[in-house]
Amino acid sequence: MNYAAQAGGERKGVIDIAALWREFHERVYHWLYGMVGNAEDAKDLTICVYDWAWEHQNQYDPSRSSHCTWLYLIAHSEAVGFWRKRRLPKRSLDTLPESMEPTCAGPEAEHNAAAAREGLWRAVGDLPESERVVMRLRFHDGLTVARVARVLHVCVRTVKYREARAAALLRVRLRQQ
Amino acid sequence: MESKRTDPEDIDFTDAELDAFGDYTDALQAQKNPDMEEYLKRCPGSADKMRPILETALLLDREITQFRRKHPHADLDKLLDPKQKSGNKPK
Repeated sequence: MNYAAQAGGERKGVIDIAALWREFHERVYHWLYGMVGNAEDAKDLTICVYDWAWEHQNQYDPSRSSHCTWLYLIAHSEAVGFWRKRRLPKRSLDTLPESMEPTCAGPEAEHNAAAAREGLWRAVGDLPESERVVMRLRFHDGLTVARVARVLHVCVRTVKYREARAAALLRVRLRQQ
Repeated sequence: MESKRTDPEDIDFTDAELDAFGDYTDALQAQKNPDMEEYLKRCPGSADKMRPILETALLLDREITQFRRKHPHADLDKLLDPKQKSGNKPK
């Protein structure tokens, strides 16, 4: 069936909505049913599609799309609006809390944390080599004090001393930054 | 020109302090989430001296753990060696 000829739809702004209904409403309904998953909502949305088409028929431009494509575009928009309403439950303003505190650190806090982190790494890098090696073996490689002592051929007390001294130096340098 | 630092070059620790510190860091390595106060009780006379040092160890442990998680194949030696600083700091 040549719908365009029957509806006289070649002229912008003039649409035979009844003819559009007869020709396409089942297709639009089935497409919407696939989108929303139930007959009741699909029926309502089909009506909405034709309502919208009727109200805005002056927006239809036959040079840009067929009637069918236009209806599908409207149906798509209706389906998106349908799911948007479903996903965003309406809430009264009265139910909102007095203050909406941010749930994550703001950019300033993130910047400060990054600066502190960089300062820590710089301070570790500036440690004397003997202390830095011990810190690396202990904290990065996860070796025990006794194991570090064996690796470095020093006594256990020396390892403990270097480690504690390294932490003390780090503390001082972090405070100086 | 380097600024003069007041590093505690001659810092001294008693055996009890070193043992408490070593055991605390061992517990950190073992991911036992140690209670700092428990270790400070082992050297009650110097808790004020040792607390910031244990806190620094905790900070460093967390940072290195996070670094290893984010950069499992990164070379920490390059990062820590001041001669090889190339701006490759962890973000």
